[in-house]
Amino acid sequence: MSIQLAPLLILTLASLILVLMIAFNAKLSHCHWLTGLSLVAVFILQTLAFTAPNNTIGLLDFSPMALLLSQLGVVITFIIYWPLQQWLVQNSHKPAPFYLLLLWSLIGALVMIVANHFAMFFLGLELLSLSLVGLVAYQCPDQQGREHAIEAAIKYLILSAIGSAVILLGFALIYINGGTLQFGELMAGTHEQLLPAWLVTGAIIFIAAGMLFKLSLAPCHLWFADLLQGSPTPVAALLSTLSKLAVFAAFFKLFIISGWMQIIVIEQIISLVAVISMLWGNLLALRQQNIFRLLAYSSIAHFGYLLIITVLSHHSAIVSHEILLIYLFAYLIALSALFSILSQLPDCHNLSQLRGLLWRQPLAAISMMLMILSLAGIPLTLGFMAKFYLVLSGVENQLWLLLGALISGTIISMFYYFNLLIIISKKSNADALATPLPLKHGMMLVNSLVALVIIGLGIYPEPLTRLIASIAGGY
Amino acid sequence: MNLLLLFFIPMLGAIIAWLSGRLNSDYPRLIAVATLLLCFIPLVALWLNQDSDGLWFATFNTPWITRLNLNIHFAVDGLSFLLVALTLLISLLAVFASWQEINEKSGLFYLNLLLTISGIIGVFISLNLLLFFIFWEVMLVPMFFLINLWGHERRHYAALKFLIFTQLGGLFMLLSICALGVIHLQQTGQWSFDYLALSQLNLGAKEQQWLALGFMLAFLVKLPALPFHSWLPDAHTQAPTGASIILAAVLLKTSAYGIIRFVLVLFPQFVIDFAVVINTIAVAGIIYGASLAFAQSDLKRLVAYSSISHMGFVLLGCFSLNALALQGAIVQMVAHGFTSAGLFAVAGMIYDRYGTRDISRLGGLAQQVPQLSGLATVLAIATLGMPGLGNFIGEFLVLLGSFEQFKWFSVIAAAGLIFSACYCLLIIHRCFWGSASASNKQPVKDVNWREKLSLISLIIALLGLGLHPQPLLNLTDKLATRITLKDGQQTLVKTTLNQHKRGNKEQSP
Repeated sequence: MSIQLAPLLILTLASLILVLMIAFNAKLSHCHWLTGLSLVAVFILQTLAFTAPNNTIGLLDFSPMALLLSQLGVVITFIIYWPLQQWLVQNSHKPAPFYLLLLWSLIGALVMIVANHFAMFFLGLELLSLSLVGLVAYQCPDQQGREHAIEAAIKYLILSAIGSAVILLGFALIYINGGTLQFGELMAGTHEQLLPAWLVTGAIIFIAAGMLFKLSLAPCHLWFADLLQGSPTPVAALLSTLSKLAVFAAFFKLFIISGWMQIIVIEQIISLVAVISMLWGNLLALRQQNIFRLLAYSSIAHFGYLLIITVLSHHSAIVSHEILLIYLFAYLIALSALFSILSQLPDCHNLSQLRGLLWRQPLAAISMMLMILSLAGIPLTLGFMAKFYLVLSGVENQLWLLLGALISGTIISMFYYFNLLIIISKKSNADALATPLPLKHGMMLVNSLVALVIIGLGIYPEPLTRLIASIAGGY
Repeated sequence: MNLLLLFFIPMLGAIIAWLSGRLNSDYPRLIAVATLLLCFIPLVALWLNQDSDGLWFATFNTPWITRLNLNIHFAVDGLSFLLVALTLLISLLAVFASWQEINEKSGLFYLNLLLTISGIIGVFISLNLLLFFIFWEVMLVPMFFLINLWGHERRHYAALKFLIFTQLGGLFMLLSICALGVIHLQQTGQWSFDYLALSQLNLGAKEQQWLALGFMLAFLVKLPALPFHSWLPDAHTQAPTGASIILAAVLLKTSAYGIIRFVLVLFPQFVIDFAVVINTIAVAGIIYGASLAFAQSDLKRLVAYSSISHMGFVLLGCFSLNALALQGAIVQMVAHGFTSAGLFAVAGMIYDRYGTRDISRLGGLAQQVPQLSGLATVLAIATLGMPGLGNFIGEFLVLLGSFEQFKWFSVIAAAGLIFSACYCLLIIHRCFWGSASASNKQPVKDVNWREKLSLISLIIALLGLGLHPQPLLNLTDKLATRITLKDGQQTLVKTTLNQHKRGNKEQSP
């Protein structure tokens, strides 16, 4: 057995033990520690797997890049996991199964990232989506919250099933055409064509549409803000970080390996989606009063920026891999830590509830502000480095339309990011919002660490860029 | 090493000041003063160890991001040295001006103030374009917080407006910087964002035009030049006194510095082609700023509009294609730094004492606070360009230099001086003379030693600059002649201008 498979097996094993523990009513803290231990073990095993020689195992492809992305997935999960026990105790009657669903969605995400065959891809996708449906509907103590959660869950279930169906249809057509579902063999022209070219392009558009739907990019974005608003905070975090990471990694890999980006229509569609997402996402985020809706729209815009990398990829493949890794790392780390802070604050939905946070809970507020600065792409944060890489290669390949949208989007985003900073630092007169807010320092440990990493790598990104440059070579 | 210290000391001081605020709210300002004084040590060391033949006093170069061949490259020449010295002096003044005004969260205030200063120093000493951009953006964020947290009634609006305007310009500059890096890659097969490497590039006229436009947009917004100026009156008016001083006296100078250091050197063809356009903007700014200043009733707003007018002279001096005018622009930068800092400090002192900045509610201050009125009058007179004080030298050199090539611009700009005399005399007349208005009859204290020290030292500096500007001119002489003579540009300028003139004559016989 090869070491690359070990992380998936460990996670599966841990989830089976969890099932038994839940069946025998084990203590919540035991479930918590088991999950944490398995995450740490997986991270260590993934680090060891970099040195393993054999990359492709059947339906899975453990290239260094895929390994790094799955490591990122584990790190994100860990950041969200850290304050989870406290949140569950406060917000749920039956907390333990949450960990089970968390591990399953992580398994799904990891499988999607390393998938090299459509069967594995679909398996991972469904495992991820179905666990997330369960998590979205996770029971809430108050009646109103429960109704919101169930509404969001049903919405997500139906829409995600439609997305999967569209992807399946596309793949069925591709299968008729080429007779293979292996990603590496989808390359146009390597096998005889049974279907007319327009139908193949149509099938690719189906697949793209389904995946863009899952990524909630611009024309198919309407569900995402409602979903984030309705779901519990840690689940909203998973939805906008882990799930998107997995889908985007698979999308990128599929469209690059198969050479589909070289079809002009596809490239145009992707560019158009990117432009609309960047502009529309940012514009919609401007007037939001709910922090989750705001983050949802800003996430749409950020994935619009990420789509630029897909367009770049057939101009300069290796560089685009580097940018992808840096951008995903910078964005997802900051966002998941932001969510993890939000999940520690009591009942923070409206922006006005964040008012004066700087004076009530300085440590949380300062880490939050640094993360917002990183999302906004202000220099000396990692977010700027990522954006700089992106702009640089955009200029190199002269993608002026996309760059124009990127610049306009960034300017619009400054409004709401800095408005958020103003709200956090505003002094509040109301008593309820003026009293200090005690948070456990242990819970804050991971967020503060992430804030330090964001600033540290923003000032001296050499370790990260070097690591990524050494890895990006082979995908 | 000295260069590194120059920029790290304020940064370190910022963090110490912040932490010390928890112990005692008096400590942060003391630490801020100590930090700024400490910064003079590396500055003096730079001056003493300077390499007398070369252009650069000292350089510091170390790899930063090897993937893109990015270096941390700091260097100081006469211009940078001058502006860093100006920054440190003005910062001391800003700390003194905030001495009593800032009582709440003083640790955080001085953290932001010192971070802004460290960013500004970074801008003045970096020779790597990306590093320059990073400092350029980084100094804005603490300034945003200074306005947002300690400003006056409409502070949130003003802070956001300030940030969005300057970010907008900055992002276009980032595009241009990236494009320069890419062109270097295409021409030499290697990434580089180093100023010295990029100034060796061969750029066509069309390329220069687009690249320079990105830079100019950032600089014109920050300067501020005419169509992009609307953030400035708001930001200045709403900012606390200390931040206003930094903003007007130093932050605006970063853009003029950027024009001199980067635009004039990297894009000589653009400068020749677009000199007329930019000078039109500059002269329009001079007249517009001065006439709007005349119409203001808010003292701080008045000074803010006068800044637009004075920075117009700097812009005119930079684009007059002439070493004399360029030196005039540099002198004007320093002199305007002193006068605007002084006037904002005076506005802050008046606000402290009377609780208003509204000129119509002031009057007869000379009877109540004679010393403050006297010092303020000298500063106002310096602003209007009285010979013997610093601003006169700057404006005179700019007008003299630009007259050679752009006669009519120089003539119209000179008319702007009359306007500035109008509003400066208006300040003196309405605020300090006349009878005291009913609202401010109650007795107030005259200037204390701290305020007196800051204003008198400014006046001494202005007098020194006005009576004996030669040392300052010597400091920037090498740079100014090198820029205007680069690659035989001077001859090029002469010939193109002659062609223009001939063409005009032929068209209008």
